[in-house]
Amino acid sequence: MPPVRPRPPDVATPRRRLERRARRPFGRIGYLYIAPALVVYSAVVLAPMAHTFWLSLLEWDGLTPARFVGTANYQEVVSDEQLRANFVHAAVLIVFFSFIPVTLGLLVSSAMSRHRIRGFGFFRTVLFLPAVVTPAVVAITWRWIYAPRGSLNSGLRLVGLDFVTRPWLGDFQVALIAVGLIGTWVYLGLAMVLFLAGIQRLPTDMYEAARIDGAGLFHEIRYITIPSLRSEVVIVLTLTMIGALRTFDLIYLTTKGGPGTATEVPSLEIFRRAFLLGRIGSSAAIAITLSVVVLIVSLVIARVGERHP
Amino acid sequence: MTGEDGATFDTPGNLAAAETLRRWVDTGYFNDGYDGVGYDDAWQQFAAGDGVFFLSGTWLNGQLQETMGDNVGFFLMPGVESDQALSAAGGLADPWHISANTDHPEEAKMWLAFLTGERAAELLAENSSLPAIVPDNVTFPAGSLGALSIEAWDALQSSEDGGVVPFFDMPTPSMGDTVFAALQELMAGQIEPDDFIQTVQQDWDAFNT
Repeated sequence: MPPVRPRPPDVATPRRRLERRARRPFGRIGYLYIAPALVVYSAVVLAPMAHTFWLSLLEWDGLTPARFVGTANYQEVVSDEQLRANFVHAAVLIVFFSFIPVTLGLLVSSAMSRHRIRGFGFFRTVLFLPAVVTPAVVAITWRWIYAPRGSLNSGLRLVGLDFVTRPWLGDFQVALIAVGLIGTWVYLGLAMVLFLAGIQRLPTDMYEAARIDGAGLFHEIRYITIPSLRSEVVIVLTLTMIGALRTFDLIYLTTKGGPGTATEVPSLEIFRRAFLLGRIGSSAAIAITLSVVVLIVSLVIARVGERHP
Repeated sequence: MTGEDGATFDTPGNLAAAETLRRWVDTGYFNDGYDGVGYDDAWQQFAAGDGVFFLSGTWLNGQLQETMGDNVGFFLMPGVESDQALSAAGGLADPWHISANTDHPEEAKMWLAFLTGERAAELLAENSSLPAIVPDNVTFPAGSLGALSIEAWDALQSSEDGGVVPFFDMPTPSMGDTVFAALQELMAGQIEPDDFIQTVQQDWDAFNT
């Protein structure tokens, strides 16, 4: 007699039923629930955005009557060599503001989760500190560190690395990287706190089981931490990439785009055109372009993050 | 550069100046890492005894006199030839405007009157700044930055071919950004003196075509 296989429990059915209920339309009453938030959101976000878009179609100095120029401002955004370079600089900053903090954050938080550490709360606070300090303070502190006679160069001279010393923020080759590393320092804290919180939520027996099976730190990261922290990684990637793309304060207070145009970024140009050059339309066109880039980047991250491995 | 027809930055003099500046950098006349020092840090380092000359203007008179006491002087950049007419880049003051739509034209006029009046001049002088018009009752101690600045100003006024040239960042709204960025590139050897002239000229042309 052939063995009778028990039918696998039908787990899909209850879930499908739930989904169907969720998809059932609430009718018009739903809009009533979101109305208060929608009104506020429209007033402070959507309306200004629509207004900015309208401005981006004009040639306007902010004072005298404006002239409708259609997509001319956008054509300039694409054709302006310096602006294209600015967007490339922002892309480089993504590496330092986003990729490095996420990678380092995963490594360090996994390493920290392997052992019970005394004073864990204290370390977590210290790690998060850069993320809560005002950007102005961060920028000025790092300006001192990077100064020709700042602590970084003093330290390098102390260990005999005189040939490495340079005015970090004034050097055409390294200024962008130097600014980027400030971002790394700031956003590593954010990444660490979110990852550590996520790891603490995970049952420790997974790590234990992996360790009994002989998994090392990297296997733990690859097969437990990253898959379990998917949502945290998505959040940190989104926040830090937006941070990199829209960064203004850090650059304005450290290099103002210099030396030359080595650290120019789109947000700096938006500010300059709107408030210094009186080119509101052109400024708005860059702002809209930057917003679209941010939107696309966020959507891509969300899409990739949702996909199962 | 002025609004006159045919005004150009592309002159032998400007090219020579750009070449000279570059040569100064190459010879090591500027402090190590000058490009990594902000403006405020720079004059503070100078005031602390770091460096012999500091290229700046009378707006720093107050701060420098206060920190350095009698240990600081002021002179105009001499010409290339010893008998060359003295000239300097400068501006008398910031431009002020009164909006035609203002509800307070009288107050605005009073403010302008105060700015150019004797009391303001006294206050500026007391704080080691330079009033545009120096009233008779305002005197600067001999050898002070204020006195030296006024001497320099008088010399510029009596200079027949020289005088005051408006600041180079003033001709167009974007000229400050253009000139300062291009100067940094010129001094760091990223661009040649020729390119520097062309970059500045392009900014001018963009606003005048």
